[in-house]
Amino acid sequence: MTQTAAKDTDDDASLVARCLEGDDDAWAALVERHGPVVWAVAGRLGLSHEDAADVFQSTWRTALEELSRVREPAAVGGWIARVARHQSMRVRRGYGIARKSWQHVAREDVDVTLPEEDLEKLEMRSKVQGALGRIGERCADLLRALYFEDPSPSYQDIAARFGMRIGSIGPTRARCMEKMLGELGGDRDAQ
Amino acid sequence: MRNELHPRLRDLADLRDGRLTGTRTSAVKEHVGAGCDVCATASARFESAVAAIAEGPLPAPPRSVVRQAVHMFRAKKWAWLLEAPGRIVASLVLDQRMELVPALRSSVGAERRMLWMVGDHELAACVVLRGGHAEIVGQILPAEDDGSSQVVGEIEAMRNGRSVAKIPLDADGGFALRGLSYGTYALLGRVDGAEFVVAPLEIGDRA
Repeated sequence: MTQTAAKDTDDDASLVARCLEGDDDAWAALVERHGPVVWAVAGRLGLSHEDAADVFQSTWRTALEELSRVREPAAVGGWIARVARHQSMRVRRGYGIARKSWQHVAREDVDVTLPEEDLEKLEMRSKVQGALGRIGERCADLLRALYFEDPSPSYQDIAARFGMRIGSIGPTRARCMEKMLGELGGDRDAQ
Repeated sequence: MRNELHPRLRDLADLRDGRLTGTRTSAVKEHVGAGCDVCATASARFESAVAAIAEGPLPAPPRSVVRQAVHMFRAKKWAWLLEAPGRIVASLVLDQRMELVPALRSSVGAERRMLWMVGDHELAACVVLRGGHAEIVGQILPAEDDGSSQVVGEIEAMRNGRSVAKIPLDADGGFALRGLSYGTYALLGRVDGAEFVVAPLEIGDRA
């Protein structure tokens, strides 16, 4: 029995299973895949670079400790994002306490939160980028041209750039989007 | 009135982008407008994906921070192997390497003999280096062996969490794991119904 190194196409459940077997590559793939969300959560909660780096480590340390108890390995990304939020909020509470006791200023920091909806949006951005990397360069470029570029290019420009008829753009976009939605799969909670 | 067939994703996307034209337009609008849950879900997924594309990639964390998180795994992975419920952790009794001068390295062709206790069994093994690869040849027998024991089991060499070799024990409890690259291994096995682990086991000319 042999396994290959973790790839970007490996789903989270496989990566978690391989981590629990001691696979370094699978762990590295998890950190690479979900690290940007952890970093973004810390950033959105206004942590300094140094504190964000601490939260990054404490989040992955918690993940390491708790990985074998994650109920839904397929949704481990969402669980890690929530751990990151929890760790970040702990640090933020420290900011507020420090300011109140040392500088006698209002604890405005404690009002900063990251609602579940925003957390899901961050996770979605991360998932979509991963999916764009798996649906083929042409599809990914077309979807980026249509929905990321600002200003959005005209259909004439897109037709010229991609060497397709204007009438093909709609059906091609739909096929590419279906591929991407297929890659995204269903969203569930891990724990 | 709702249509029986749901609009295609293409139609929903065109409707969203204001590009739906022709005879489908009224049918799609009517269908969606009638409160079709399936279409509402599909449209929401589409919209969510489009919004995520429009937002662009998340900023990447610094490489040094990522590397640190990646490295923290190594110590923990041995704990997972060793702490599995019901698994016997082999206890090293003898390692010939330890009898040598500490600075002395293993060399090609050299044999390193080891002995572990695995519950009621003994695992004796000899590691032989052969120019970049190694063999582990050994035998597992009951500690109180009277020469008539029939041993049943298997042994598996794991590296980085991956199985690189797995073989059944022969009737005498013997095994030979060949063609192993130099590195750090765990030996997982079952003997007479008991699961055991030997880890970590360093193999190579620096071991």
